Amino acid sequence: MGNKTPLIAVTPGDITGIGPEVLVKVIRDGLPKSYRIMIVGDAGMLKSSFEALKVPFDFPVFKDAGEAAKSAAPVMVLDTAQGGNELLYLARPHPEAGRIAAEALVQSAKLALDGVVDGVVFGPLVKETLYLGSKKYNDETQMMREQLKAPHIKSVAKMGNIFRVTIAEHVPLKAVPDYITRDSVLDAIEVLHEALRMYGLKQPRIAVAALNPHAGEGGTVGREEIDHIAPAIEEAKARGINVAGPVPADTVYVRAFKGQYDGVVNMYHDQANIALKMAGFGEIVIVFARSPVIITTPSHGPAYGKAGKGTADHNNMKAAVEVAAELARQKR
Amino acid sequence: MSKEYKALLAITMGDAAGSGPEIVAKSLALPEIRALCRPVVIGDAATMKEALAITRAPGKVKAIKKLEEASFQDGLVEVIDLQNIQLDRLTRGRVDPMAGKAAYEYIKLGTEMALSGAADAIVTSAINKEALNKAGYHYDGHTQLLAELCGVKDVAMMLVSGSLRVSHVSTHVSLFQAIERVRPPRILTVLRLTNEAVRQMGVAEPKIAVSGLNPHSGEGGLFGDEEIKYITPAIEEARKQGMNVIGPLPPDSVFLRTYEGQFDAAIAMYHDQGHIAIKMLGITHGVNVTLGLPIIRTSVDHGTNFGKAGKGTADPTSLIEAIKLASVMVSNRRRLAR
Repeated sequence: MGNKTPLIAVTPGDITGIGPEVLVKVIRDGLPKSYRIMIVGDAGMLKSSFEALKVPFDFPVFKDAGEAAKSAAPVMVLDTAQGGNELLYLARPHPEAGRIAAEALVQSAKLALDGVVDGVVFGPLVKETLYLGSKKYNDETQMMREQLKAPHIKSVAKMGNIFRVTIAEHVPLKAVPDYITRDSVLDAIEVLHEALRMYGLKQPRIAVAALNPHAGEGGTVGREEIDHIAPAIEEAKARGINVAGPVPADTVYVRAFKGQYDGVVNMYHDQANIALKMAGFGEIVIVFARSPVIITTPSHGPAYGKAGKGTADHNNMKAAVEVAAELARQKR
Repeated sequence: MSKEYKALLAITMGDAAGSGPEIVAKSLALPEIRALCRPVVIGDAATMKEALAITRAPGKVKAIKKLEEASFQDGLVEVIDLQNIQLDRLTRGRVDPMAGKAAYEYIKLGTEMALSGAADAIVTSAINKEALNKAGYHYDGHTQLLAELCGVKDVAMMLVSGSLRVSHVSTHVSLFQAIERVRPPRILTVLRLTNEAVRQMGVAEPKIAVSGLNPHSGEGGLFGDEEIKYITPAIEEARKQGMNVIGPLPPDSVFLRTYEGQFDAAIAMYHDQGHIAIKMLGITHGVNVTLGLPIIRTSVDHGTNFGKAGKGTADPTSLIEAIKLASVMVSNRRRLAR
């Protein structure tokens, strides 16, 4: 390859949503010299997307990924010839768009496996569309696990300087205690530890949030801390991980944002999300840990309501590209 | 009516081994506080004298026996002196049953004063639960103790930090039990108490947002059905009773929207839901208000801060805010009663 700058493959995601628009805006902002982008998508559809925002589509276009990677251009296009121009900004889920998004993602991930690119960022998509298109995968994690033959892939989130992982995310609150076991907590600590090390932190500091108020207050208001969470923390410490907790959920992010921790293990969805919203965090980047290749994506969906209006905010997409580039640098 | 009525506030000294006395000393030295209310400390005069010395707060402590002796002069910290701390035996920064027992006695007297109407409200400093328990008083905190002293059952905890007011359906119970408390009668009670309290805080027609319990408020039953089965019916009933209530709204945005001014208060379904939001705004600014008591009660929203006891460095912001809020509530209660 010769060129030492990391090359990141970027897909537009669901083309009926804001994916193409946020991708164009990231390119329009200009790239630092520290990485290059290979846009993986249909050249015709991409040309329309750029022109809709009056951004010149003047990048070298390739049919062959190997040839594309040899290009010295900061941005190049790998034409997947998938079509889809008529779906652009359709503003609703469409099976064909789901198929196109899934294929571009799988193709990019395989390029990364083959070492042609250094990392992958996929544009916003929703599970429903992915399922409509693939007729097989309920979400992108499941698809990645099978396509990359990496059954242990797990997603973690990076917001600001803090990484987080959530044990029971999209489940009823009532069911959350069932998910809290010594093994699930230990696994979450280890995943977070691995993700933080991937990001270049040699001895990351991790906090584990408690499940109950006041961390159970010695067992008087809940026993999960004593029965499951504390034993998992002890075992993680024995394995050399710098981990604290269980930390009361109402102060764990106050401390983390003050710089006391690099990562937080959450028990449930709102533990993290209430704190993040209050702190004004918009850009959450999803990072796939335990994956043979670097993959990131913005945390928002295709925002069908905003499709084609030109008003979509691209900072989350930009952050996803930057995190992938940083991970690629660290991997080297 | 030529002169604004100044609320008479019974301010408890809190746990003598903690930073409570120093925080009281700092707060009562502020001209803005003296202009706003008539404070009387329920505590131990010798401990307060030392607290003034430690914090170098201006003014003098005057020990009194009865409220009638209070003059509310600037420069005087008037203490209804229960003489229940032996300073030579007190170890600052540690759990001390003597201080726990004393703290209980301040609360008891302050509550009685508010119940009889001698005081307009009670403002409480931090107590230490362990000290309280070691002294033989088995309560899980202020709220339970106050409810018992007042002979009421349906109370709720509201936290206030700047423009964010959050009431809690439950507080010190496990997450599992908290979920079981999310039922229409309890939600309705908390809504009613919140509506009343927010009116006392000066909002004529409160608009109250109710949080969901589950992620994304259950997303139509996909991630839990408590919103459909319990929360929505409670909201509908509250509306029938004439309250302006909206929800259930997703837990991860309802508190921010309330803070931004879209609603006058929010109802949290469990302890951490509301506390996470409040504490992100800064731990030192919060005020804890007990709803459902026949008296007005505000409190600091922090612990005894044993680590700072005796050093004169504890932050009095929370108590200052608690005093201001109690004064506002007293004034509006009088206005609404007319």
